[in-house]
Formats: sequence, C-alpha cells, structure tokens
Amino acid sequence: MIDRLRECGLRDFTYIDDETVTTCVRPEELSQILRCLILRAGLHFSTCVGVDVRGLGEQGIEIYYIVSGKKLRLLLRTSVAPSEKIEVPLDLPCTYWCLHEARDLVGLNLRNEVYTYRFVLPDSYPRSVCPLRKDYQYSERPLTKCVQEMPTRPEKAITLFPHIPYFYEHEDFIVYVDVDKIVDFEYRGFYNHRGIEKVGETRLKADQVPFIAERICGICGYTHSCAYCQAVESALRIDIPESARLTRTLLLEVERIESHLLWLAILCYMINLRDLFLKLMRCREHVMSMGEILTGNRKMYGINVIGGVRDFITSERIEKAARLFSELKTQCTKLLQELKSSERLRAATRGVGTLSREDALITGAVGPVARASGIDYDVRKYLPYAAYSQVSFSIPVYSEGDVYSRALVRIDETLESIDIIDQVLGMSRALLEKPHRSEYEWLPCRVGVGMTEAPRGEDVHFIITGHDLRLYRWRVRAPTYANLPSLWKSLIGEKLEHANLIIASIDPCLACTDRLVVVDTGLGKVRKITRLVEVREA
Amino acid sequence: MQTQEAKLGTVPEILYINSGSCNGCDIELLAAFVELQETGLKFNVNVEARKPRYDILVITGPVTAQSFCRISRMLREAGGRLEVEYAVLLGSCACGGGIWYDSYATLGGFDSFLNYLRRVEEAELTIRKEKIYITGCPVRPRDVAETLREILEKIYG
Repeated sequence: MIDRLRECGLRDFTYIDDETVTTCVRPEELSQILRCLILRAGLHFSTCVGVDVRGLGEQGIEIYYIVSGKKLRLLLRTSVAPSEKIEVPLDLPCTYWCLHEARDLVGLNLRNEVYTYRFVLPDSYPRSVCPLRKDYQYSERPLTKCVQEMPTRPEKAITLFPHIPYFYEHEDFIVYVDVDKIVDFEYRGFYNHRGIEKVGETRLKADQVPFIAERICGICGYTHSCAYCQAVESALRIDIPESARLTRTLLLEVERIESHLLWLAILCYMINLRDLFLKLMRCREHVMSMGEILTGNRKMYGINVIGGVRDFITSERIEKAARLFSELKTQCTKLLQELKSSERLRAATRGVGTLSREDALITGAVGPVARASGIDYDVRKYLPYAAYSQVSFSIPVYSEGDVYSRALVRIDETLESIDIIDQVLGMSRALLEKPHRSEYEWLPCRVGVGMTEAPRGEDVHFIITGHDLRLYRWRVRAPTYANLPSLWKSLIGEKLEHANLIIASIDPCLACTDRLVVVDTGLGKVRKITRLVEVREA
Repeated sequence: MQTQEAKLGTVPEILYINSGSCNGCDIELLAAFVELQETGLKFNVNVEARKPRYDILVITGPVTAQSFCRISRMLREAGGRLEVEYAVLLGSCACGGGIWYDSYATLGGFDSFLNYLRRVEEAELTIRKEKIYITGCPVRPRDVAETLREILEKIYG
C-alpha cells in the first residue's frame, strides 16, 4: 500500500499508530495528489479538517486530509498561509463540503468556490465570523435579522414546500424539474449546527466529551462516542482491555439493528406497507429494551470513557439481555424475510435512484449507499476496531446501486448484526473480565483519528490534543455528510415522484423537517407537494 | 377515548417543529405515536404552519440559529401570528437549551427563542393555555404518550 502512495508522489511518512501514517504536502500539489489517490490508487476520501494553528505557535491554517484504504489511514497535512488560497478540485465532489466548511468555520480562502453562500452558518452571520478560530468566544451570537437566501435562482422558485415528515432531519432540498423529470438539485442544510465542536474544544474537558459526542445523533449516538474515544486512544496510544472491546462491539451492533429497523420501517411507510411499518417499529422497541437492560438507558448509553467502558454490565443483565435477544431474533428474522420477499418493495424501489460505482467513488459515498453500488468499503473489515477482528461476519455488497439494493444491503446487514451479537453474547465470560478501562496519561499536541462503521457508513472523528486535559481541535464527520453529495448523481434524471424515496434511501440522519421546492424549468411553474403524517389504526 | 372521533368529529391538530434536535426525542415521539395508535388515538401531525391556530405544538431540540430563520420564515408565511393551545417541549434541549444553552450556534431553549422571535423578527407565537416541559435526554415515549393523552382529555373532556 505504501508503494502506491509513493507512486502518487508522497514521501516521508510518520506513523501515528499501527495503521495511521501522516505526511506533509504543499498546497499547490494537493489536488493532483488527491486525484491520484482516489482515482488511480482506489483509496477512499474520508474528509478534510481545517485547523487554526495560531494557538500552537504557528501561522495561518493547517488542513488535514484523511484518506483511507485497507489497513491504512493516511493523513495529508498542508500549511496554508493566511493570504493563500486553496483550490477546490472540481472533479472530486467529495472534497467540496469539507473545504467549504473549513472556509466558514476557520476562515480558509478558497479558489473556485462551489457554494458562494455561507455553507454551515446562517447567511446573516458576516463572513468575518469564523467560530472555530481560536480568538472567537464560543458564546458570542452575532444573530441579526434573518435574510432570505434560498433558492439561489429565486426568479424560478415561487413557493416553498411543507416539510415532509418521514422523520428525517430538517434541511432544504430544492429540486428543479422539467415536466416531471428532475434536472437539477440544490441542498441547504446544517440547520442542526449546534456548535458541538466548539463546545468540546472550549467548555468541556476531554474526558467529558464522550457524553456530548453521544448527543451528536439520537439514533446512532453510541458510534460517535466510540469513534471519539478511539481517536483519543489512537493519539495517546492507549490499548483498551478485552472486555471493553467486546462491550463496545455488542452495543454498536445493538445500535445498528435499531437504526436499520427504523429505516426499514420508514421505507415500509413510504411504500404503503403500513402493517409492516408497525410490526418493525414494535420489534425495534424490543431492541431498545435490550439497550436499556444492558446499560440502563434506551438511548444515549453513556457507557464509554476514554480507555474503555464504565464497569457495570453485570452477569444478570447479560443473561436477561440474552433471553430477550433469543426471542427477538426469531421475530426480527421473520419480519426481515417477509420484507425481503415482498413484491411491493421490489416494484416500488427497483431501478430507482441508480448510483453507479464511479459516481459513488468520486462523491465519497459510504456505508450501505456505497455497498449497494458495488464498493465493499466497510470500516469493520478495512480498519478493524473494537472486537471486530474476533468475530466472523460478511459484508453484503450489491452492484445495482438502486434503492432496492440499498434496502437489501440493510436487511442483510441487520441479519449479520444479529449473528455478531450472538457471537459476542457467547463470549459473555470475557465480557465480564476486569479491568474495563485502561489508565492513561494526557499528552498535548498529539493527533488522532477514530473511525467506526456507523449504521449509515463511515464515521470519522479527528482530534488534536491540547494542554490540561483539553482538546485543541475536534472534528466530527458523520456518515450522512459523506452520502448527501451522492444525491446530485442519483437524483438528476429521475422522476419527481421518486425524489422522496431517493433522498430517504441514503438514510439522511438529520432530524425531521424537510422542505422541498420544485421548480419546473420548462414552464416556469412551481408545484406543491403536501403530505401529512396521520397516525391511524392499521 | 375509544369514541374520540365520534365525540369530536375532528382529529386534534399537532404542529411539530424540530428546531435542531439530535433526533433522539423525535424518534421517541414516533415511538409514542405508535404506542398511542394502539389505544386508538388519532392525531394529524403537521410540520408546516399553514393555519393560524393549532391544538398542540410539539417542539424538540435547542433552537439553532439556522432553524430560527426557518421557523420565523414559516411564521411570516403563515401571517406572522400563530396560536397554539398547548406547547409540549420535548427533552432537556427544548426545555432550557440543554448542553448547548450558550453555544454560538443556538439561541438556547424554546423560551429564549420566543424572546428572540418578538425582538428580532416581530412575529408572534402565542400559547393560550399551558406550556408543558418534559425533560430527559432523550424523553421516554411513555411520558410523551401520557402527556398527549392528558392534553386530549383536557381539550375534549
């Protein structure tokens, strides 16, 4: 693998841990190196991180590009002088978002900007406001009167749509159509931007951050707290005990089942399988109870600490969970088989929203979206963490790239997760072994990356440690962040009636309020879609 | 409660706003709806204000600066004034801002949002009867279901 990196012109590698190497590159050669790594060497672009390094005694901004492959994680480090501009590689859409985020939050200057509006922050915040710069007070609120900023072609757009409540997060999807074919697509998001990175860097100490990391997401929060702990463990080279690895694996898989069942239930709701929707939701309740038995909480398990887990899963709890699990397993497997063989599912989703393998590569898609398009990238296999190297499981991969394949990937994955939980519960003696956590010494100025395979795909946490048990920089890249750019490829050319289904098929983990603007480019007319969720008897 | 529809002839209208929640409370709300559905209760859940009056407002999450602009835009489009009978604030974040109470990207909880709304956007959101705070991170579906059931009893007797 290192040879392939050398072919792309990289030299002088330093190892952070066994799997992570870092090297410095000059800003002007970055685009070329990235093209080589992604298009020729077949590596996966994870994200990039902008860091204001003035607090570390240097000048300007540093950008870390994180690129990953089999058993290798590469950190490319670039120093950018305050007046220097970084080029956005237009042929690599996977880099757009993180570079624009760095522009908004740390004040990076960009050449060929793709989004001219403020990307992460409200448009009413002036350009000089860059909250992740070290001289910015985290409680400063420059809120003035809101400005109307979207869509970017307002002469065509007249009406805004009601949110569409299939229980995703709030964001604006603007779809430009010609009669009923989608010709262009625009996205405004980040309405959930709560400043979590700044809170983690300023107000909290590093050992308090797992608590807030879990609150990044209410569906797959545990995977975030694992990824964060792994980032710190990689930076400080902490080896975590066996029992902690197993506990993390167990809970991560419980969470995966819960998340996939929710997505599948919502899919059933969308394609009018109301009966299955309710059955899946009820089955999901049992999975939530399992989390509650194991940790005391239905959600937000609060069990992770740096260096392991808090030690309180008792043998009674494990036995109780195992009993519940054996009932749940049969019920859940039956439901999933029923869904898999459903004619309705096949008819409604086959051939819809196709994403080719090449498009998935350049947009940086991850998780079930990538695996439905024939990319076998799964962090659990590529860069094993927790106890994934001790359990056997397979990675379902389909090559069609449509919504149907994405559903099948998720169904198969849920079945695999059930199998993994079985294996881990079988090792319950090892689960109870002590100690549950390792001691560690805090060291400043260390860089660490933690990656997990969240239910929606690769989840990346990047940290730089600071003094006094504090973080200098904490960057979170959630999986949906990597999957949303693929919508440009899968939506355009599709029929308008499928727009909701395609957007839902990447399992956007935002929260619940979508707005759609449909602009008819042919006739200059705007149409409305109105939906209500009604909770009725089945 | 089984004869709810016969008695009322209407289904209670809920306006549901996610103002920046992490999804936790939203999914628990969905779980609560599934639970209520089993007892035969019906609701219309709206996520966009299109009428000047709703029975129940459900809000989750701290109010982020970004969603503040979206909600006030929604209120302006609905005529600048919105009345709700009951407001249910789900989760610690909606109640008081939670851990984000003083972050640069949020305005704190729902109460401070109401102040900002009056001051910055000159829009009005009036709660005519009660404001109900359900804390928890996330809230428990049972609590939400019980609260909604009680509100319905208060509204329709």
